[in-house]
Amino acid sequence: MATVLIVDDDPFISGLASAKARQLGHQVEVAENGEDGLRMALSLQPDLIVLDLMMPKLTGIEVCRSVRAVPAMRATPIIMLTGKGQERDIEEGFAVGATDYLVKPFSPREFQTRVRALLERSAGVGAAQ
Amino acid sequence: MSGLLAALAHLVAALGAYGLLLILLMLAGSVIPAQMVGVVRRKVRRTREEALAARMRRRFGEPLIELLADEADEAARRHFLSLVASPGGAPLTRDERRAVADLVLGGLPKVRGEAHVGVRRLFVEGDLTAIYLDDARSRSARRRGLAAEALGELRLVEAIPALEVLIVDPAPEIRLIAARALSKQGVPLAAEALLTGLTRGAIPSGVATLSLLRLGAAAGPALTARLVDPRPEVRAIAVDLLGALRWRVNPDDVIALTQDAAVSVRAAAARTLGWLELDAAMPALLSLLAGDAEATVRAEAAQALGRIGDPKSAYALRLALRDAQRPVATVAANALLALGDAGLQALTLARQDTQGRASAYALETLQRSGHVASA
Repeated sequence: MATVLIVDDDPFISGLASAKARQLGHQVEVAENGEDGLRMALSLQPDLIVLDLMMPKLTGIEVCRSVRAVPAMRATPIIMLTGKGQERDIEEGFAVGATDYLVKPFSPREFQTRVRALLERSAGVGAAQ
Repeated sequence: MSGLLAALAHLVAALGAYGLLLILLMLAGSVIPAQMVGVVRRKVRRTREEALAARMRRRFGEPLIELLADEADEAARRHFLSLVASPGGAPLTRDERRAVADLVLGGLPKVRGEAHVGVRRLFVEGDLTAIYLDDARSRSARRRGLAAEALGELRLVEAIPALEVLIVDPAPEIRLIAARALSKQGVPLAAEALLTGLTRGAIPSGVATLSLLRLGAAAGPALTARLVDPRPEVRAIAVDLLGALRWRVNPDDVIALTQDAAVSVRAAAARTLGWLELDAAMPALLSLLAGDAEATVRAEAAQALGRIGDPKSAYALRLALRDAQRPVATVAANALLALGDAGLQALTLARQDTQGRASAYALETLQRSGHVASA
């Protein structure tokens, strides 16, 4: 069982994403803004982080950059959730260390597939090391 | 009326400036409190609605998410629908049902795939659409506007008659929301409703054009029928959009419009013949280029010939370089470039043309395109 941290200020999105991650048997923690998200990421050191791009207090990009600055979290998979028309932000997201991205409106099923794949890949890398 | 004015003049004369000031203060004293009451009433209503929405979110939010998280779970679906039908035995009030409908509707633009289909199913199975269909007939303009927006998001065929009524609503802002809602429906019926709004002068032609364009191919049949509309502005929009949508229209219907009495219709018909790239349209376009009295129409014909790209139009386009109207000659020059070798040959020949400014236009075009070195 992995720990998944979902950081999104929209309770509908975070609720749906949480439910899909729980269906995979993972433990889920939720933060409603970037500041809480960063604090929880640093203290929990989750196995995967789902980050909304536009959030109050601290954006997803800022959270991602701060997380990557922690040596123990350089390989933690991070999925960015972006709105339509934020292609430039996707580029920036990858530049600061995002692993994958999903465009909103999103398909819960696709989200679940990505979470599963990223966690499996990450576990594979961890085992090899 | 004149008697009333005279009485007022007498009153002002009798009371003097201070008296008039007193009357104005009394009037203001009655108007300002009335406005404040209105503001407070709206604030109270909004607060009550927000509290209700929060209550419904607490009660229905989680079951809704559970249902969407497991698309195949019929039990979750039945559970949610039973909650909507009768939570704890007491049926939901109309306002509560509306708050639930808004909650479900709020999820619609956030998901796609099976979850999106699932949300839309809830509206039908939970009979939540009826809330918005009723609100579309509300005396409150705000409710009608919200209903139009919701019906637009839901994209249900049964919502079109309600939107058809809202497109001719007394409030102009509601008509615009209805037009946007109709543009999302994706069915021919929506195009009919938009064209009704246009022909009845309820929505500006720009709004109608954009909405029909968004509607896409579904607008084709209704637009084709309007090619013979008695109003020239409707014929012009219809023929123009059919071209923009690349609709497979009968070429003869469009060619007939190149003879229309209205300039806007002839120009639009020429444009559409160009977009459709129909060889059969060549004679009509050549005739417009050579003989139409309006420069706009001649320019559109030249551009359309360039789009069709048939070398046989090179001679006519070369002659159009002599046109007294600069826009026609410039478009003709660009159209010649689009013809390839035949067009380049025509431009080269036109350099010897002594009529009008044909030679200058030809040289300018050849230099701009790099076929002749600039001086």
